[in-house]
Amino acid sequence: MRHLAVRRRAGVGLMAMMAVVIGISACGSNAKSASGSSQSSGKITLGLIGPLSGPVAQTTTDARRGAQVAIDQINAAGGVRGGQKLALKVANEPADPAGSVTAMRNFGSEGVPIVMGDMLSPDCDASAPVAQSLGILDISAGCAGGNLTGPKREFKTFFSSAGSDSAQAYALGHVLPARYPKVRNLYVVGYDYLPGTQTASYIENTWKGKEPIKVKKQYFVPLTQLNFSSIVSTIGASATAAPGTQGLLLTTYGSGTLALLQEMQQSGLINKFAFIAATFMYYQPAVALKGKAPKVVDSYSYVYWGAFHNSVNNKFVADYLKIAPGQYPSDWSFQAYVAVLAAAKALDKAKKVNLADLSSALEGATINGPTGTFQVGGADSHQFLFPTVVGQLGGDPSAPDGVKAFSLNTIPGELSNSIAFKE
Amino acid sequence: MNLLLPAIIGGIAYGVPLFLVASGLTLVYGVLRVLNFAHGGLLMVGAYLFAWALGGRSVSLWAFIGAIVGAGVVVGLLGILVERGMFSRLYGAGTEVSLLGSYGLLLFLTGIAPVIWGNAPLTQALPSALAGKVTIAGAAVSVFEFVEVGVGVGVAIGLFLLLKRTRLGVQATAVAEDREMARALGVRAARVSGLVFVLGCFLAGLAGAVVAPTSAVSVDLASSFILTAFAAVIIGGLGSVEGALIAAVGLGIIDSLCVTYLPSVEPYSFYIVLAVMLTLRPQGLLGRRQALGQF
Repeated sequence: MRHLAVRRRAGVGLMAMMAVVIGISACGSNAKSASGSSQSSGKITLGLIGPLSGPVAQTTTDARRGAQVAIDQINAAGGVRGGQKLALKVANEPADPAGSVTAMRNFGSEGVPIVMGDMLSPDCDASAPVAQSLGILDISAGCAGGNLTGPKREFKTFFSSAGSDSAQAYALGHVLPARYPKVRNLYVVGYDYLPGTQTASYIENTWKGKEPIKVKKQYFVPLTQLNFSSIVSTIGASATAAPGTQGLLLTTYGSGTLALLQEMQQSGLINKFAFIAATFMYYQPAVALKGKAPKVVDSYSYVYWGAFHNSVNNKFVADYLKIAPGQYPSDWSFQAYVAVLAAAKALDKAKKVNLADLSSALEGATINGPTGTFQVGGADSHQFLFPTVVGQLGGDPSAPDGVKAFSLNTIPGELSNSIAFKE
Repeated sequence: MNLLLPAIIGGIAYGVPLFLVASGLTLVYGVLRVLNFAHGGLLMVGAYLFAWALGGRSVSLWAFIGAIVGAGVVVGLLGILVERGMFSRLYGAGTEVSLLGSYGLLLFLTGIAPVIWGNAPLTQALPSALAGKVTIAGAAVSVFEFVEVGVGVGVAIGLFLLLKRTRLGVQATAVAEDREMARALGVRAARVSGLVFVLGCFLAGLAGAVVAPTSAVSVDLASSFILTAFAAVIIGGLGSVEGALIAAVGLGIIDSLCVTYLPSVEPYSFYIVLAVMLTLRPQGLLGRRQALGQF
């Protein structure tokens, strides 16, 4: 009798679970079949995925602001597709692939046609196939690289409005030799992950000086490590060549770059190098040093808000300050801003708001952005081909954000992304 | 050029501040048998309070010192709330439960910090009296690193004197040995436990304020130092302050030597030493086997 009762309960439980599963999938398909539900009310919602808390929260915060500025400007100019307004929805997901996949699925259920993807590469890798299967155009404002956007990319409808590490390295390899022709040795300190470890080899291979540059020593530490005192001490003792002949490359980011530079300043290590170069946005750490930031050559998509004097950038900065008083746009803000400009262009050009038409409309589109006019890559590459910017930033107590650009170069996007085209 | 001596000097400059972080952790475990995962979060709070109070600008030496001590005091006061509100209810529930409770507290602290202080990292400049560097045997050591070493040594001596020469220290040792017996002998175990916990939190806040000027004050601070501090505590012997000091300095030197001669091994050097120690002498350098049984 007990066996029968147990079996009956198990059977009821199983049927209840099946009913729940069927119910959820029915709701999901109802939402999907009404895809465009976010459009039918006269409003088109664009999605953005990223963590709004935790160590990398600032990147999403900056991206959200940049995207919102673009949306406000587009709506003020009349919207898209003959009058439809754009809206932004941010999925606050922790920096992990499972959360990004969930967020993408939720956007799919809500009928969101375009998502400004994820901020971190593992999350992009996880959510890109989901976006494709759900018919969502994925324009990542945070992830780039040949595997995602190059000719051999796996996901045909993934686009990137982020700067790639190979592009940054290419740009540094072309600008630094001209400014520092005597440098022969490169010291590298970075985080132990792929962009951190391969950037130096990209620079070695693209160095355009008369003499090649050699990586003398490289030190990689676990992600989020903030204590570099052993490394600083060791470099201080071993980097004994003339300062004009050695350079330092930092492939840390955020708080790590900040902590490392503070220790270097306090130990006097800054003066041992002809240049210090960084590839993952120096602007935020420079601001945090409140006018005392050492001069660092930064290479990324935007680098410094005050370096571009054109009407698009002037309006971008002015509108950004309205929504975030006292805060200036960063590379992440720029990347999300141009992602929205591109999304709007695709929405206007596409015959229908579906993945195939949007993707086709976006390929080769010309965007007038804050750093100049550029094209979205065509069938060969879905990388946004804005120029890669190389600027030397340093502290300036008299500047509103405590930072000044001491020099600026731009490398055309078609050139700087040539490494990624081959991946 | 001979890099050995600079590596050793650099290692000491790294290891003593590491002891400062580990000291509160091992003290709390030694007396209360609580492995406080939230120690890193309390360190982070101390760093935030310090940087926020001084606003990042260069201030006078006395204001700087006052802010360091003040950060420790505030985190110590926070420790009263935490001990009374949470840990005191978990002492009898087993090590695993207090471990989970402390982990929950860590998540809370790392979640609330950006809400209070924002997502952007904070920095704190050194006063001009502590800026500059000294070169010893080829190793450039900043003046502030000497201060860190001095504070670490001071804390080590202070804790030694507290535990060995004061009434509170004797009572704490009694509670650590046998809580029930100590109570039976008239020791107010709950009060002693609370005071020790608060002292541990004070040390966490103090450590956070001391490391802040050479680091970036962000939520990453909660995990960045604490993992290596745990390694120092376990290698030194859970509950042994002297062991934590020897282990921290030793680990600092080993780390520095790895950076100099084996940079590819350096990220794992602490954990290799930890694995070897746990294999050969699981109670740590100066720990006791019975403590291991309780853990």
